Amino acid sequence: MQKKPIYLSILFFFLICLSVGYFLWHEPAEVKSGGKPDYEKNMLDWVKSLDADSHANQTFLAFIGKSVRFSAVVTEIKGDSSITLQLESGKEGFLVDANFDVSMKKELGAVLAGDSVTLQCECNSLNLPQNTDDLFSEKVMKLGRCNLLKLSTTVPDLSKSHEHDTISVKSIP
Amino acid sequence: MSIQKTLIYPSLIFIYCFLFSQKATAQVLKTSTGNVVFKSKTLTEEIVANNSQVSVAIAPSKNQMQFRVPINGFQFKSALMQKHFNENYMETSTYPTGDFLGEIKNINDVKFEKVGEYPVNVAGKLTIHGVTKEVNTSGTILVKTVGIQLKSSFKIKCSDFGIEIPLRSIDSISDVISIDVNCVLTQ
Repeated sequence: MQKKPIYLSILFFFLICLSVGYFLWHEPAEVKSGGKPDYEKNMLDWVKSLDADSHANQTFLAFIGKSVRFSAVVTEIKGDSSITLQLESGKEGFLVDANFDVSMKKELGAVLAGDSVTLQCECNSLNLPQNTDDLFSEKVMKLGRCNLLKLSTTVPDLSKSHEHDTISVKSIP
Repeated sequence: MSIQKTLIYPSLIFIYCFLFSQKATAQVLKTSTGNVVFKSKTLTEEIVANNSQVSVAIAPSKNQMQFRVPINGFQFKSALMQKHFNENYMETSTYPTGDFLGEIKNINDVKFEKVGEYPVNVAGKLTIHGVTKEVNTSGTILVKTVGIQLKSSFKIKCSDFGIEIPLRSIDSISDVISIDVNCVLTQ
């Protein structure tokens, strides 16, 4: 007679574990980096130090998968399905690519080359040319799951000369 | 005069075509936004992850083809799958990229200066999880008016690259993974 409550407790515990397991297995992965970042960086200074570092590949390993918040100027918008913003690095032959999930395409519609952006991204890789035969001749920092936090865009006022362009700043919640 | 015309014009056309074809094959075609899809299918679970940050370069003149895939760039549906993939299986913080360096075996069949679809056989060295293996696969090169498109589907075995699937996960993760490559390269 006393065994019944024990069986019920085990069954209840088993169902709880099953529910938790099901929830964890089906919890959707984040498509953009959020919350408090692991690092806040000045992109130009960061690129400068990585460019000068002879063991930059090893140094960058500590940042893989970590989130970083920074501001930068957009130099090019690439990609057809998901959008990649190429950012100003301040160093010739050093590229910074910030990739966004496909679902962010609409949000990035207003971004143009020359705009200043504040982003929070995950560090994916730092590609360095490995030998003289390497077809990837540039150094490329790849950032993914980017989140557009702030966009400062220069809007040309056609009624005035370009010297009087207005600046609009948009913070994205 | 007519002899001159019949000789000079075809010669000029020939020289132009020769120079154009040389230019086409001497270039390096590149992208840093190539797409790779990873699929694992078992009786109980299908896992799909997408990566659109793949760097690809082809130098037809040197018959050299190179891929670099940032492993952390694979986007899964489930957060837990993504975490396990990066931390337990691929050890992304130690091996952040997957690399392929190879050549097109039948490069002479591909006319990089002529729009069309060309089946290709590719051979080279694939490095994943710090392990390098020789691979042979087939694919298609679509030569477009601007750039080319690469398409390929092949399979790899996790165990070949030192990626161990624990016994408790054997029902949900396959040892054989399908890889679909789709990249548009421009000069």
